[in-house]
Amino acid sequence: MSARVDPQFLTEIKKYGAVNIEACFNCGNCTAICPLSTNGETFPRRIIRYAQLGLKEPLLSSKELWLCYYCGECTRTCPKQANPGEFMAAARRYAIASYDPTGLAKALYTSPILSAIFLVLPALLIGLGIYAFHGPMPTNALKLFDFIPAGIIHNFGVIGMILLAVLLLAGMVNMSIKVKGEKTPGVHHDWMRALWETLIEVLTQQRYQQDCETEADKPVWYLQKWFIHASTLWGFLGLLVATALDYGLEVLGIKATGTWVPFWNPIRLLGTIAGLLLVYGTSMAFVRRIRKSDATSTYSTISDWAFLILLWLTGVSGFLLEIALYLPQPGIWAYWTLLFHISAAGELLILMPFTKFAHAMYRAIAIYFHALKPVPVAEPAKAGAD
Amino acid sequence: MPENQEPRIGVYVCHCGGNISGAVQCELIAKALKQLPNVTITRTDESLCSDAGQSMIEADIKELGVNRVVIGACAPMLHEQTFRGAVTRAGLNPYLYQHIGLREQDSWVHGHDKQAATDKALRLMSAGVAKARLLQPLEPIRLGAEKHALVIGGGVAGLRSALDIARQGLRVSLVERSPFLGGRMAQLESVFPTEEEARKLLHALIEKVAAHPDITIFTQAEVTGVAGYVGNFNVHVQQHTRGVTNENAEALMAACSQEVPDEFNYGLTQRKVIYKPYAGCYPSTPAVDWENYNGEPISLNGKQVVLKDEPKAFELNVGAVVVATGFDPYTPPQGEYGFGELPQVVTLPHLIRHLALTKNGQPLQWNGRAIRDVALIHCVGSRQVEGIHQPQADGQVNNYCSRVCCTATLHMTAELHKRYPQLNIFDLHQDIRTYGRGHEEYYRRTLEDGVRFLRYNGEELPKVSAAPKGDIHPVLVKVKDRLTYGEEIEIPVDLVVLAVGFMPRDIHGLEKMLKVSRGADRFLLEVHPKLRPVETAVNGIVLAGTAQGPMNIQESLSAASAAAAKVASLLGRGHVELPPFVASVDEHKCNGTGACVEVCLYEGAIALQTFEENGEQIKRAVITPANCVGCGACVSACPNQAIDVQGWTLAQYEAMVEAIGADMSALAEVAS
Repeated sequence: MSARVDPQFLTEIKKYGAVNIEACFNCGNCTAICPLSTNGETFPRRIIRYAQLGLKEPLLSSKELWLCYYCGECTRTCPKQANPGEFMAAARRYAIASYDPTGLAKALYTSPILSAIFLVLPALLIGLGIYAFHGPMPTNALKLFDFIPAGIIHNFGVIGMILLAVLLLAGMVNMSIKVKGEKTPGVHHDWMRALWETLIEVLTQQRYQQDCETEADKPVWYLQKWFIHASTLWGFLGLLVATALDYGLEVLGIKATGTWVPFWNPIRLLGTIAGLLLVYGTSMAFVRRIRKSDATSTYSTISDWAFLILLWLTGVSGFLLEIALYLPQPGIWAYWTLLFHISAAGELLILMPFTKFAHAMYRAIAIYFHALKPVPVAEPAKAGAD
Repeated sequence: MPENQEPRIGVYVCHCGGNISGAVQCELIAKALKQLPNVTITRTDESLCSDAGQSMIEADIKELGVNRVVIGACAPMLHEQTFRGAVTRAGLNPYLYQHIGLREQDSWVHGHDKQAATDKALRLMSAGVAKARLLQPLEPIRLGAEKHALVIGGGVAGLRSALDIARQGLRVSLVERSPFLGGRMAQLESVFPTEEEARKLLHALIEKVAAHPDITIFTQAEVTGVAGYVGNFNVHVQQHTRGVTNENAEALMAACSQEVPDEFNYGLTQRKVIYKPYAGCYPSTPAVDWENYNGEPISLNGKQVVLKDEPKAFELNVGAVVVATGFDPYTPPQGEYGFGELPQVVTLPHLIRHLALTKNGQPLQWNGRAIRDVALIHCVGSRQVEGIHQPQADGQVNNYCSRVCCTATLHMTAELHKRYPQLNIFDLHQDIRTYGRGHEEYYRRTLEDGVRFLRYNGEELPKVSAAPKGDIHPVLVKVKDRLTYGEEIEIPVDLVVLAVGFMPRDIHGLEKMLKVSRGADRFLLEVHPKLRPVETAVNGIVLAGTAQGPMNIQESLSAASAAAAKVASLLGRGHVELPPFVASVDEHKCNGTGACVEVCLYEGAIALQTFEENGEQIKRAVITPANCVGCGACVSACPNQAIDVQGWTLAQYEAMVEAIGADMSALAEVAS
């Protein structure tokens, strides 16, 4: 089978970034230096090559695209300043847009006007929608769910989640079909092991930590890109779990959600720590992008900013709410903060399939298929062997 | 004269800054050789070729009466001439000097065994001493030389050579086969790396050549025979009639109706049989294409004019010949990459002419079809692999790199991109060999212009075929791209351009007339690529430009100037000096057997002549030193031992063999 070139493709992918990638002359220094491109892996060079020739299908079905954590070694090493690391990021943006069946992701990446509308409108709608059902704002004690009934949040949440699940599933299926490749008859894969490896990698980001932080002048651990990324992830997951558990307590009839508990309450403690991690991670990422600290933070798309800002706003507003809960005299601001928090969090989730946020899902899938290895077939005992 | 006295031999052993003394015990050699008869003085020195070293030898000749010199040093190729010079300055005949190569022949190859190296050095040096005793003064062969050179070929190399020779005060005859000067360069438009106009550059040179009083230009002329030797070549030339006069030329050209494909545009256009290849050509008078003219009368002012070619033959006496006959672009055989089968497959020279014929602003079309996608394939007719490529007519494949095509192809892609920025360009190469100053810039630029580069393996060539019906492109190129990990890539295109290489030109037996040889690649061969890069093995015949191999214009010009310099230094003094190491006949011993004439490989070097002696007719061998190379074939063939090569006589050889085989132990013992 031969793959047909598409000379227009490079122009297309350049809409997603890919600064100066046309300067690449395929020397392969990027692949040689890449700490993750080992054991016969050949990215970023191979992916760049696909883009240069317009081999769209091979590019979209490559798991390697998602194995990259963008440490920036390749960009530092590139003799042609073709910026391979930024290209990989652009190719991932292109892939997110391609797996998304709605076309929204593409619009978010390539059209600033549509992006602006799409970034403001949902938050506004959620905010207004919820506000329409609002109750009083008691000032004697902070009763957040008097202002916005938990049921309303719950209903909005359920509708949002269903919509989100459908879109996420579509993207996942689209990607999985491309990435999993041809099935070889008679070969069984150890999917349990692959799932386990994926879980470990997603939770610990150990390849990022061990392999990608290779600079000689490595900063202290809390300034490393790995830690900033991991703390954002841990913070997000921790808050997700704490919120779910808190809601679980209400379902079990133990306590109403969003009400005061002692500081040492395990769920509260988890939420607090996770919140700190999230705000720390996103703030640091924010600073890095503003300062353009290195090659990896030099180029930021609207989508990069939107994802980061929403995460940060959600985290910070959540914190303000927590502080408000422990204040002796709650202010009116706490009620508005709640409205803001819900709008931001809702927006964040709704945008998940269309923005940088989607990488969390696609990377996990790629790691899974990458880890999927055939079960070795037990060799039949050799006759006559002793 | 000192040379007629008893030999007083000076022996010198050079340390060569440790190169020799690292393996050979030079002091021991000097001490040992001092014992030999006739040896007046032996010395060693750190570096004999230095001014101090040479002065020491000169002083010994003057003060000690040394009249034979033996030096053990580097290879004679390097410093034999240096020491001959020193000997001459001291007033001695330069051929009373014997050079022994102690470095290349001994210390460099036997460094691991110092004892054996010293023993070998002792034997080589004592052989040198043995020969030195028998050395006779010799005079170089001096031949009168015509201060007149022939340049064959009126392309850029021939023009440059002609002008450079003439500026040295020699006369030049320039013979060009076609009716116009300029050669292949005239067919180019802008040239890399300066982007200047080819014909503008060319005509700046042609104007100077044409205006030079000492250069005579013969167009439509060919060399038909060559006799003689360096300094005195006799060349037969045949020149066709131009066929028209300055007065009637333009009118005849206008009246002429017979048309043939125009080779200047590689057949893309038609031209008349009375023609000018391009506006501003030189000579500006049109010429008749005798090969194609059908002989029909042309009506001019009511008169029927029949053109007639009346070739005239003449002779030129020249001292040297510059061969600047150029090259031919490779023509792919039918079917190579679809050439000759698919109308969309063309060569790079075709495209250069096609682009020149396409006006600026006009869309790029081929065969009536707009071109949006174009693929260029490198190495067509070059770097061919036996068993993969169809062999040439002589059964060989062109395994050489044509050197020019990589940059020429990228130069073309840059030009295409500049004129048609929307064009999708694919470049299929094995390697990018943009080796010259400023050439790599074309690669960098075209890469950034968005030209897609694909790399094929020389043993798995791209395939060009007609696209299946329904495809919007007429041609499909398939290539296993090494840059995409060997994946097969399919490129639909409107035009395929073959970057054809250089072919050695069929020069109508000229190389046989000149007795020059061709290399394994069938281009004309130099004596040595580094030591004598533009001279042929035939004295007085030099090469200029692409007759010698693929070169770009800059390299052709360098070679042409080098050839001119060789010719000027050869003929400038009006005589030619050749080394005296040629055969000489002892007339007392020769009785005319003719055995020598039979074995001689060099035309005109030895012949039997009849002499009258005491009223008797006697046949004797006579040497023409200018044609003799001193190979010694005649020496071994002569039953009477009547022939010797001067400077390397049989007696000298015997003495050397004797010395090499002698028992050295006594000598060595005394020394140690």
